[in-house]
Amino acid sequence: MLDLISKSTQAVSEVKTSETRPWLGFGLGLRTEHFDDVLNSRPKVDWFEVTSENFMVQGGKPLHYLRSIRELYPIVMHGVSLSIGSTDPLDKNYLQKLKELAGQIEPVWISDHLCWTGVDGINSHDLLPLPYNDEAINHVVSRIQQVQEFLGREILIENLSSYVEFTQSQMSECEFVSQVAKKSGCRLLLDVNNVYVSSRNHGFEAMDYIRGLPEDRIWQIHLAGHSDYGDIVVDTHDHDVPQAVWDLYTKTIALHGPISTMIERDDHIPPLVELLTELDLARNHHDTALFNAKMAI
Amino acid sequence: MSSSLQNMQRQFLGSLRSQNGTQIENLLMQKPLTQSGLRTYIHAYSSRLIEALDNDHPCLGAYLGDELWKTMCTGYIEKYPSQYTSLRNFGDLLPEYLLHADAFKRNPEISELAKLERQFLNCFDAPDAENIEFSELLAISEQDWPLLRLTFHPSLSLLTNQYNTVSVWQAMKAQELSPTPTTLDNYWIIWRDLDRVTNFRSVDFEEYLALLYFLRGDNFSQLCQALLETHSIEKVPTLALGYIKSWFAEGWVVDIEL
Repeated sequence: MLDLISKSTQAVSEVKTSETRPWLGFGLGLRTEHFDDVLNSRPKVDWFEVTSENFMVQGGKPLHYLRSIRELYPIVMHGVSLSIGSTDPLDKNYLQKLKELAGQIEPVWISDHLCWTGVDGINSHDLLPLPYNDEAINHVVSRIQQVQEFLGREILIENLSSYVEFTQSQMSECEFVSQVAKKSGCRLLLDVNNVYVSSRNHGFEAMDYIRGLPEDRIWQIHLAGHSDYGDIVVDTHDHDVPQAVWDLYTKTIALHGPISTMIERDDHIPPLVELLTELDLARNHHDTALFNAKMAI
Repeated sequence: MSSSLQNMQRQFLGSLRSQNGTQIENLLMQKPLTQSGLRTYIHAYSSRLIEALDNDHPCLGAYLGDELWKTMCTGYIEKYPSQYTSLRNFGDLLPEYLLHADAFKRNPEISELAKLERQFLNCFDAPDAENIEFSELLAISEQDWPLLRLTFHPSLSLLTNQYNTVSVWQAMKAQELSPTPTTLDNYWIIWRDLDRVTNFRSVDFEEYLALLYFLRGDNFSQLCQALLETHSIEKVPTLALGYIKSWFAEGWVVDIEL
């Protein structure tokens, strides 16, 4: 794994790695609207995250762009269809395509969500929550291990935003996520916006959640915007990162140290230059948090 | 395997598909958020699938208008829930659905329009291949020509329409009034060009057949035999060679086999 990381990041001079947590810097989600801009202007982005399924195709323009951009930047692959929590058998055909894409792109890492997307062969294409109990932990842990064995590498699993709670739950979400990571050996993609959204929806303290996660497992952070409807907050990825999420991000970095960070934008996608400005904001928040944490010691 | 987790997932997905959350209220903690939370999932299920159809079939949507489009989406989602890992494939069975659904089966041109848009999608992300130049064909000894077979770019496909569907599609794309659907046998080639842009052009029935021969694995000799049915023996080699030369010029040919 460290070999792959080193190989994938050699194009970026500022990249540092540590034994426990690789440092990629600050990334953006690679979106179709920005393909040409990225290739022509080679923006100051340390790495890009791609939605795996968008490139699990046989050929054509998107794959061509991805290969070209991969020559310039490290890439991480982020999936939405692994359905690690589904009670259906793992989709071997999907995993094979994922592995083939990874073989071509040599991503620094591969991630997906701690969720299920369908059952009995029917896909909702949504990231659906699991009950937080031992049955779900054992089920998910076993499947993560199978996936990691098949891919020959660790994967990162991302916490969800959720809008309902199950009567079958026996523990907090933080406890559930932590146990899955510890028992399966996977790493965590900590979506700070999702923690914020779920904390508002379910009435828990967001920093308690972040404090409870196993620090050595967190390899990446997602930042995004959401829609606040008053009685419910929905993870929509269609706004700038709001101040409340920046505040939580700053506290997370102060607590857990440097973590590779990227901004997700999936709807109302602005020009690349606006996202670059927002990414600079992430850099500032990150560095300020580290500085303040150091001064406080 | 049957477990409480599996039962929960079946019931939850069932409520999304039926767009009715009352059947799973026993699964959920009853909090002020619960009803709006459930509505969020139910709404997301249908809106995500409709959005996929919307993205893939803009001209079909414009042709049908809002009411029929909604009828189509609702019916299709119910009959063919997604069994794909990518939303890119969700609409694969739409032409089939439109051929048989009560609201649409009396207008087969609608299915044909859906099929055209799906064929464009298939062309867009078909495998890559390097085209070869006509000079490579000329380098082959003439005595070997009867056995030569051509391999075309994987994105290339043939399309047979019974209606003026391409004209309808073009009008919708240009946001103009649609021409009246009329019965008209017409033949098209769809392919991805050297800049990876999807292209299409009409061909006459003879060129369509000539391509079909090669696509199904026939050789140059068999093509010439077929052309002999409608042309004199003096004209056939020139005609066949003319077709092949134009296919090379379009960048369609990726391999020659002997």
